[in-house]
Amino acid sequence: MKESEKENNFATPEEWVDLYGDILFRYAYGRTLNPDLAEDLVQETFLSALRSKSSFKGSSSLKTWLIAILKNKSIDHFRRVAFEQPAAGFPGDSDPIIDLFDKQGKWITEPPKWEGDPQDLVENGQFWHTVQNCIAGFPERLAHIFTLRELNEMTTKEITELMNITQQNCWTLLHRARISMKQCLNSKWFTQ
Amino acid sequence: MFRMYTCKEVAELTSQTFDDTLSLRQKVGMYLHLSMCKLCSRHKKQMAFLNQLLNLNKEKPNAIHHSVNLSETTKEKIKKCIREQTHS
Repeated sequence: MKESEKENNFATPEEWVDLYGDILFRYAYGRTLNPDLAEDLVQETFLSALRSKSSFKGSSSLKTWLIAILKNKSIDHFRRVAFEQPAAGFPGDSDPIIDLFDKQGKWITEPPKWEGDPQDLVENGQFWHTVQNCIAGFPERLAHIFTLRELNEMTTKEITELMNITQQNCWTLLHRARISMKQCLNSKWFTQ
Repeated sequence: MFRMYTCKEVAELTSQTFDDTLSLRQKVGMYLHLSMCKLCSRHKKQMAFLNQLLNLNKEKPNAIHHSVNLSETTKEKIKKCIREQTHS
């Protein structure tokens, strides 16, 4: 732990907000790409940290402790979302793959070329905003599975348990979600 | 006989490589197809491009989203909640 972080371990809960509010917010934003939801998660994290303040031993940094709480809050949120989803959504969900291939399984339309380098794009806030817009347009289950797998560090095993689906369904939904993202970025980003 | 995979099947396997390991038969079949198919190779490259971006977002959210901040209004709101809870 850095010296400066050690000192922060004695900060008051109100000071936590100034010290770590932005860091927690960026972390929550990366995992949801939704600024409103990210704000709610950060607020819940601070209040939950306040209630369990006595369990903070100071052996880890305050930042690590707060991020661990935020991770738990995010997982609670994703569980609630999964619970509220209609179970009958699969396999009747619209299938983005259908328009891509013909009956022999060949490409109907060529994937258009993408220019550029991921490194040049990664800090472009507008790009992440577009990704969020794309997710918001997906059918619920695709949006959910994309968020769990591609924005969070969940394994497919954890996802099958959380969403109560089989391994094969998980692969299929992830494939559909990724294709949907690619198609969306084709039209909303790479053609600009 | 070793049946060749279709483009549609290769796209499914391409996605699966980001989640779990493929069987030997799947790996060989996929690479055989990719070596001959320009469009599937392009698709796979684009999926890898996206995957790289998403991994950076997972690994370094603080560096990548350095320009987004918790608004001052929200910070004050949270502090107010903390004060209320501490004094009750």
